[in-house]
Amino acid sequence: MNTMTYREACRQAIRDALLADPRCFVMGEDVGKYGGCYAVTKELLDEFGPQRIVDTPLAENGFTGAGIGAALAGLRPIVEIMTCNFSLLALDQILNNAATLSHMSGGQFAVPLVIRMATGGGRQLAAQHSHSLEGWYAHIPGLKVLAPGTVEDARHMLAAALNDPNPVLIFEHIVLYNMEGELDPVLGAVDIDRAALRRSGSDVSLISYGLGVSKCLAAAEALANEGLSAEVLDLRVLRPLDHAAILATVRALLRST
Amino acid sequence: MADFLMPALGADMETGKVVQWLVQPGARVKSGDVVAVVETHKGAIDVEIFLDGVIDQLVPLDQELPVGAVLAQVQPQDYTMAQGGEARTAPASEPTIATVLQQIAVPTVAVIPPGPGRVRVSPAARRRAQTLGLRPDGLSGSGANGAVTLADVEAELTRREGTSGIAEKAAR
Amino acid sequence: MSGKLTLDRAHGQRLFRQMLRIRRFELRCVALYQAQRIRGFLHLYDGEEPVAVGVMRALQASDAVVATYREHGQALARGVPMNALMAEMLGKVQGCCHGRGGSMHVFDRERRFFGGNAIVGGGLPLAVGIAMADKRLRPGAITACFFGEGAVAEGAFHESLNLAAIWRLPVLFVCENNRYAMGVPLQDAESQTEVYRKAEAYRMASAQVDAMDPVAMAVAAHQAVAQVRTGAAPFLLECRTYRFRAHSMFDTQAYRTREEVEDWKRRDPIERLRLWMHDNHLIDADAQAAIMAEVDAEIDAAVAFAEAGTPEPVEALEDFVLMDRVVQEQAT
Repeated sequence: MNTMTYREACRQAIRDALLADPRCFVMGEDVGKYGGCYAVTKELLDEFGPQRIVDTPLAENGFTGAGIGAALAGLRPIVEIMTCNFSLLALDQILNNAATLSHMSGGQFAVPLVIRMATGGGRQLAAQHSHSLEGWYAHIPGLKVLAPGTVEDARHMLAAALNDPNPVLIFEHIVLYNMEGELDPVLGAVDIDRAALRRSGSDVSLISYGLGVSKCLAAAEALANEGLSAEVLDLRVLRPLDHAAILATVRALLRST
Repeated sequence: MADFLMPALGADMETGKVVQWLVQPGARVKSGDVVAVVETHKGAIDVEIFLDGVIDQLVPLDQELPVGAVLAQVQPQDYTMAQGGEARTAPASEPTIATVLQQIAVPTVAVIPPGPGRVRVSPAARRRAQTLGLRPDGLSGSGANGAVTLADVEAELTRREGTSGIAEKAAR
Repeated sequence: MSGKLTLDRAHGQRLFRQMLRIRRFELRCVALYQAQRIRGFLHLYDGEEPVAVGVMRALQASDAVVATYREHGQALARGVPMNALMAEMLGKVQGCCHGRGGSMHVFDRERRFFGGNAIVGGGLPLAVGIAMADKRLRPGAITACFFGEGAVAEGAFHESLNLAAIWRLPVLFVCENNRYAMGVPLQDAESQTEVYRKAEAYRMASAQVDAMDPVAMAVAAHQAVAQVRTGAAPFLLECRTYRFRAHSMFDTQAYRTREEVEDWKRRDPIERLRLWMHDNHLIDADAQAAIMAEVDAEIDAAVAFAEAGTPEPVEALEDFVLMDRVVQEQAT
């Protein structure tokens, strides 16, 4: 078993993607020279050059729309919006273009775009830098919304997202970046359509995603010490939501009570 | 014979009313002609007809009618009034078009309706008249073909000032 | 490269025909809309024909086009088949977008026609991205991006021109300055009403053209396209034009006088070209009549095709919300 941080897992995922597909490139604020606001793209500029790691001016609407256009015309952009807080500036492009072009054009175009955003609060970053907007985005038809909550998902969800012909949003909770986790070296890929049971139990179902997953697992441990058996379901994918898994854990719970 | 219907002019237009006919019964119309001014909840809009022929049976003015209601009929090109009978306006109980035209208030929008018998007013005259709150159509025109010119508007202003001056003097 | 564009009989008649085709198509749309055959919003191009025709004339098949919701002219001039366009307007599945797009969202993959964008300014970032991809994958191809002067006030204009400039992207930004952003006149909306001057802020080349002169417009478009293509750098072309009809069907035009419109109609570019060609013996009454008849026949056929079309079945409701493959790259 490999141990690495969630941040390192994200970084390796991006690196793999750039190595595997010449059409793939990263575009966003401070992804290049700065090394990434959260150091996810550290040193990738040196390795891949400015055509593959593209520093943008502060123009979320502009560069997100550009990512959409580039995806329409044959590239595979990974747009990084520094945090979901700034993504509101690009909301028109995400909703009215990325999510809607396939429908509006009557199926003439797919939008094979990935947008990664940091999300969440808990670091005293104050009101405008602490939002968690993945729930909003999960309500937009035409998008897929992912919330990797484990190092394994951080490592492998990106490849699946790039392989998906639709616009995929990946939300990385800022507190998770430092989290260490184990990575099965044999595991090559993950799906991006199902929830995952992280812990089985019979007294209560804890259903969460992203940062919430590790908190639920910690809570489950604490509950176990009190003689309570908690099940932890990691949603992983917020859109499309895995209703079957949610119903299954609740049904199993009802059956056992 | 074809019906000229109340047009849909917008996604949320349900009704409208004809506030001015720009043609008389028996007039020749062709596709693309502007024949009426329709008042909607957004204001007055010129309406084109997309039929060729002779227009007749014009609906009375100021009736709120749903989109798709018949506003007039268009007879084929070779139709003459003699064939079909007397030129008909709306039933006698309703005011004739000529009378109603005189009673129509000036629309608040800056749409100057065209049509037969329109008084020609020069752009400068119209602008000056608007500033002064005068209706240029009511003025006598000294320009070509009776057109109202800037000079005519200025003359009217002088005349009114002169009149009010006299009234003031009389009051004292 | 000379700025001259030879306008011989063939070229002249084609220019005339293409503009007339758009004008007659738009007129037919008015009738169809009034009769509720076309629903929703309808934005017409009367008076602006030289812009679409002039630019498309200068483009190649491999170039890309991004347009606005007032795009019937661009679509027709680009070669989107009239049948497919009319069926789309009537919301039929035989339309170019399965009836999903309607008047404001015309897309045609084969002609690299990327909409039909109804958010003012929303297409400019798309154009930047398409040009980014083309610069790498289709060197020599350019992206022509149409927008009105109203879009100039949107932040997306600033962001897109800046991006195109710093990244040296082959985008031709075509500003159709028809003086009114819906009902707001240019002088009330813009601190700099000479739109082409705004390119200076991005150190981008630009030009302004009187788009009521179809020949001048064709020349300007030709030069601008060539400059973008050879210089592989963006360009802003401000086309000073005028729309004879309202912003959309449901517009009382309270923001402008009838006289102003009539004044501009006297500068009708189609009539202007017709007269010029007539005076220079490049067209006669017979040729004119033949062109008109041909154009109207094509429109009649398109309307018949569209009326005979069918709506999308309910079973298709969830199609194209998500795609199962990148269709524009993989046929199957």
